[in-house]
Amino acid sequence: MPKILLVEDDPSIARMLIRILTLGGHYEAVHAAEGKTGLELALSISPDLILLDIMMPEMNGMEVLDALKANATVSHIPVLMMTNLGSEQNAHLALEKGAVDYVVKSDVDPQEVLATIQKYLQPLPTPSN
Amino acid sequence: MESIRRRLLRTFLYLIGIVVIGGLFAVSAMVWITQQYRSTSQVIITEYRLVAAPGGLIAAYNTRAESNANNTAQAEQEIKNEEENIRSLEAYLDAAITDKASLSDYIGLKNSLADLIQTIDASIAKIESGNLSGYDADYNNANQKYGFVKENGTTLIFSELNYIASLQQQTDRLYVICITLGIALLILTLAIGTIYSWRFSRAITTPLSRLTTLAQRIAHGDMEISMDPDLLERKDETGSLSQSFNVMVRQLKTKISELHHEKASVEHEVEQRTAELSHEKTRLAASIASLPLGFIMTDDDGELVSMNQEAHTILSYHLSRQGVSEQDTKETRDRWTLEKIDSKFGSHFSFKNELKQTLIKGKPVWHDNVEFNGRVLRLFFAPVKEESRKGPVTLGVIVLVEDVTEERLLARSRDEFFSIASHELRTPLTAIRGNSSMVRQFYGNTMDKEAAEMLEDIHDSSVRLIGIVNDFLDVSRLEQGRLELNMEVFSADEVIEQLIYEIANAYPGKKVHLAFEKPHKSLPNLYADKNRTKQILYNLIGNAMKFTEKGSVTVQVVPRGSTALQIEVTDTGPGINPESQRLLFRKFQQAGDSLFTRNTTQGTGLGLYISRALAEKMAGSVNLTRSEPGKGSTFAVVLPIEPITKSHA
Repeated sequence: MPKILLVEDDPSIARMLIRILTLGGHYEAVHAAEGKTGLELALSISPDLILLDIMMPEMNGMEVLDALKANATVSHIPVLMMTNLGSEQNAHLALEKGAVDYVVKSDVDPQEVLATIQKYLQPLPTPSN
Repeated sequence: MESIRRRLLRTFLYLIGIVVIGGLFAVSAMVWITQQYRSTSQVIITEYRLVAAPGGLIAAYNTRAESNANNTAQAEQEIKNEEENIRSLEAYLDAAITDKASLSDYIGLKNSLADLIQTIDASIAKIESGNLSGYDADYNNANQKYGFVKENGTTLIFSELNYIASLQQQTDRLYVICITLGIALLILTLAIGTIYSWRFSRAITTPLSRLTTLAQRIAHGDMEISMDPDLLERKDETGSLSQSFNVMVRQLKTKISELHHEKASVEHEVEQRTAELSHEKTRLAASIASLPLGFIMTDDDGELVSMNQEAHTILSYHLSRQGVSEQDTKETRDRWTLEKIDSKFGSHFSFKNELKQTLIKGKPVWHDNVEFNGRVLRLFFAPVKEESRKGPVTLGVIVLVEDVTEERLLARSRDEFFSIASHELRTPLTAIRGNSSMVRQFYGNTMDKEAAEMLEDIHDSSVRLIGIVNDFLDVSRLEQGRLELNMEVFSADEVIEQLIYEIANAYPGKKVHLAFEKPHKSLPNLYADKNRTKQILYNLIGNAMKFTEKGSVTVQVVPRGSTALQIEVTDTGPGINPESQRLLFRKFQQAGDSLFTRNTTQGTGLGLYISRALAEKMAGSVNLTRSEPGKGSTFAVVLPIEPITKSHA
């Protein structure tokens, strides 16, 4: 069962996304409520995909993304930015930093979320990339 | 007084007249005397010849007496010739001798001559009659008579010589007279000439020297002169000179007073102009000083010429030791130099270089968002040009400096507000949407119909609300010019097909046929922001589907000129009445007088406004191309196609 790390600070959104992952996608969901924890978890459990919120206290999503991509052990893991910041600038920036996609949470229904996750889960990248 | 020239001429003529007359007189006197002399000489010579003539007669008489029959005729002829000669001489003298004294002597001579001739004639008569006796006595008689003739002749000649002597005396006297007259005339001429020269020169130099004095006085600036009336009244050349001089002086006075007036009025004008200019200058300086912009002027060497208070205020910002941006109160306006200004900018902006570039290129340039010691500035560099014969010449550069820190902060904060606001709104909405969707998905079959419907309404409302939040954010970004586009080349067909698939799925039971009529030949790709194009088309096709109950919604693509494509969405819906058509693309506008009269089911009312604004930002447009109430409407989106050549440098 693919492991998906969810880094999201809002409790209700987190609960919803976990439900989508477990009930809808039958994935194993791991949740970090803030950036630092998220990074630690990524390093320790090595998930198959990371769902990353941007607007978080202390360490925001962009900073986590930078850290992930800077660390060779986790840089290969596909990162999907899940945010409610709707600026194209942010999307570009994230993609430039190495995220595979950028999803505006409020614009999508759960099925779309699962479809997008599935898209990026299918090819299993080798760690050496 | 008549003209001096005429007077001179007259006097000269008189003198000449006198000389000529005198000369004529002397000459005629001389001529008369000479004539007398000559005629008297002629008379004397004739008298001498007359006195000598009888000698020849007597010789001829002698010859006749001694002649024989052969030369008698010759001798008689000779006698006749001599007598004839004597008679002609007498005839001459008869006419010539006129004066009484000589006349009486001449008569004596003539008598004795006649006597002689008579004697000779008588003797010859005797000889011719052959009487030769007494010839000697006759011959001696004849000689004696001849002696009388000679005596009378000598007396006569002496008398004539006397006359000549008297003539000589007369001549001498005349000579003396002439010389005296001549000298007198010379003296007279000299005297008259001297007198006249003196009077003439006086007549001229006196008025001339008076005029000269007057002219000198005028030259020294004394215009209050008056001419002597007698000079003016003269009728000769000096009079006309004086009159002309007078007129000239008067005109000069007039001219000078005119010039004084002109000078005064010119000075007045200059004063006025100077005052005006100084007002202008003050006004200009005051305007520049009161500008809410910083104003800096440099010359063409890049040296600082002037700077206003606002520029000084802006440029005196510095970062304090605590890193706070504050104004340096120690800076004074007069200590600014170009070096100083340049040094206060960070390494990211070279003020000097920008000045130089402006001077070189001769074109104005903006520099926005220049960081300066904690403030944000907007700078405008403009060359100051002047037209000259060689073309435009750059005199210097004007720099306008604006402190836009507050503006930027405000804009940034407004944008931040909207970003944060939309983020905050979206978060709970996401939970509502996601959860309501999942409940329906996972527990739908255990729910009764009522509950399922309520859940669906909750879900739809959340989607609607999210749409509204997105629209608000878009409008805010569009209006602030903060919306960023990601232009790319893509195929319209792809986008349309995908959208139609999505939208059709959203209306599963709807009896409206939604289709894409693909174009027959392949059309060029679009050059636009893909997501935003999708947004526009989603809006138009979504609207068409929402408002059409039966029939179809068709999408077509046609070329529009050679630079764009037109995507048309045609529906068979109710159409839009003309009144509503006017308000279509406005924010929230709906037809109807009252604010309460709104159709609240029809979306935010922002969709078309946003679609049009987005299309225009991509150099395209959105329009209602046709609408018939009861029949349907067609909306068209025009977007530019991929540029063919990119080498329009």
